[in-house]
Amino acid sequence: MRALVVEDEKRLAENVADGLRQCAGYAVDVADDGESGLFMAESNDYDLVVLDLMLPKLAGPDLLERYRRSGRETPVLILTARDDKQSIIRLLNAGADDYLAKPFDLGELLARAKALVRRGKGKPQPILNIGDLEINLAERSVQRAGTPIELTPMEYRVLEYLASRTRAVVSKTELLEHLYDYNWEKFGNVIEVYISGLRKKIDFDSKTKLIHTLRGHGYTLRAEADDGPEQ
Amino acid sequence: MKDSLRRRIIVTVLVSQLLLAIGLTVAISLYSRAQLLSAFNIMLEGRVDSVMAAIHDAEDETKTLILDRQRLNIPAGDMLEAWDENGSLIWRSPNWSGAPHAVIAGNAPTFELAQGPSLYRGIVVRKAPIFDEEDNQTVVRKVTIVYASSTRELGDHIFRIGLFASVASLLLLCVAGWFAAYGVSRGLSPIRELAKEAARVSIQNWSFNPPREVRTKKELAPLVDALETTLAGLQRAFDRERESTADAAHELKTAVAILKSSLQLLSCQPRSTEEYKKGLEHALEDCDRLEALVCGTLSLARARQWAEEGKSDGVQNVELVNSCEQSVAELQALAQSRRVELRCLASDEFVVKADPVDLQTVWVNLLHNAILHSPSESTVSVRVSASGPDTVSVEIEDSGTGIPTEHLPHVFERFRRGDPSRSRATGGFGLGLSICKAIVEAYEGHIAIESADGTGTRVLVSLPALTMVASPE
Repeated sequence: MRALVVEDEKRLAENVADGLRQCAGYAVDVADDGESGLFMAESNDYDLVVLDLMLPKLAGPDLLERYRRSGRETPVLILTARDDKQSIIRLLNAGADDYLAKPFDLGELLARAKALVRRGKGKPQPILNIGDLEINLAERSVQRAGTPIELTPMEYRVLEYLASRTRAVVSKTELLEHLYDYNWEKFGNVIEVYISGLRKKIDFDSKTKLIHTLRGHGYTLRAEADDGPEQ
Repeated sequence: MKDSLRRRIIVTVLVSQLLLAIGLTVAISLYSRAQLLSAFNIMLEGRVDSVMAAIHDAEDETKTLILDRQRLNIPAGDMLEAWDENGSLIWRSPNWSGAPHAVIAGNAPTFELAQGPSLYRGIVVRKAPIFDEEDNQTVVRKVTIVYASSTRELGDHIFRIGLFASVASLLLLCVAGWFAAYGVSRGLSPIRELAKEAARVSIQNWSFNPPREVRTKKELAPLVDALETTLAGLQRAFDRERESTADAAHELKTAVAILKSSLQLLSCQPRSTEEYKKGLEHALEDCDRLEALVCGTLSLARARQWAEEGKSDGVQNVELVNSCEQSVAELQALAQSRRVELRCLASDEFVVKADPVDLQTVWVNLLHNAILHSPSESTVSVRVSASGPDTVSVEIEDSGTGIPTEHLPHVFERFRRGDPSRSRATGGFGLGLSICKAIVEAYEGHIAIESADGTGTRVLVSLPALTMVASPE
């Protein structure tokens, strides 16, 4: 998952980004003013935008309005120092999905971020089941047929993203875009490495393969046999 | 019950109308009395003439004058006496005891007297000629006739006129009073409208829009203008206050949020000792920032209070050039690290009354700003000079990035940064200039800022100087 943090207070942006990286396993980009925030949000496909309201160059509410007008459906979590109900109502009506008043609890922010991403993917359950594979998104743990599976952070992130798009074909570029921050192009062919690692750990001793490769298209995660992917 | 303007005006109008009515009634009565009296006199004269026509010589040797009662035709109540030129009575009406001597001896043509219950008015015709034919010769005899008639009817007449005048006045007064009440009510309605509109104004609702009919009234227009100006000013002040409170809250909450998130980030997963150490250092930095913000906010609040109430504690005579030089020395290290030259130029010594710590705060703040916004290899200069007979000014000039014109009016507002985008590059809170302004104003001074985008900024602080001492030898 990849998130964008738009916050002009450098230290706060760093903390939120580090929290999302370390405790939620997201790739995070940071923008420190409204204009670059809008530019980045529109030029990348993020799974979550964390937006401060008082921003230089372009204020948070304006950024939100323009972002939504451009047709983006990415969940937006607002950080605000104002907790008067009127402005919160206005923001939610303007297309925000949730808000947190400063000073917030980092744990709460992470939990809300994960919940927003789950709902944004149309899968609000905190535990995903694909066949006998179970992914606990809150604890970031995986087990197959009741046996816990140890994954590296990057393997987990690949699996989490594939699971959030079950049965759809996910291209390598899409994976790269959602797993790395803005310099994802540098990472080139590492996806194959993670996929083969995942295959070994998840599909190794099972009859039913869950991870499928569609040559030239990408990857898909599903429990059924190869009867053609859903688009 | 409240004193009512409307009632006062109506009462005033009615009282003046009542006075007018009384005056008119009196005038009418007096005038008609004078008219009636003169008519009465003419009537009396006519009756005297008829009396004279009834006087003639007796047809005997005595040649005395007699009054022929057959020819006398006067009303029954009238009284008369006639005297001949020798002073003997010709005739006196039986209902009269005789005219007082003063009436006959005096010169007045008319007189008044009380006879029994009624008043009489009479005339005296002295030495009136009577022409008599005797032996074909006209003989002139002179008589004096005193004639009086009751004025009771006359009095009744005057009374009736007076009564009529007063009743008519009272009726007119009622009509006029009703009209006045109606007119005053109508005339005062814009005031009521204005009061109603003004009563609607509150902290939640600043809109003040009196109807057009109020605005167009000559007497009310200045009041409406004054109210509008005052309300607009109040609203601006309120909004500003609310905004800066919100800004202060935003800054404080953000600072707390940073500290809190730093600590939570540190504890969200197990870490190495090295990581913990680094995290704690970070948290401590956040703490310092929070402390600086709280201190800044408090000193601004204090300085603003001084500016409003005046400051007396710690105030002493301070030599200004010395004060500036101390601040320059304090910031020399920072200036050198940014390769900015810091210069202090002054010819004379100036003494001002202030707390030296406050002055240091001002100079350090201003110099700090100037240094941070100066390019390397440039100069920041401090110039102390007299700017008037009893004012001294301190100019701090840099050749830095300058402040865009549209943001100049706001630089002294709280939590404003020179950069309109509120860039946090310099790490300040935007409190420095507000604190400087409040302190300078606390000492009855004045601070102004001039800037041209791209060529530099000049801050001018003027303070009232106590004495100007020539340079010491």
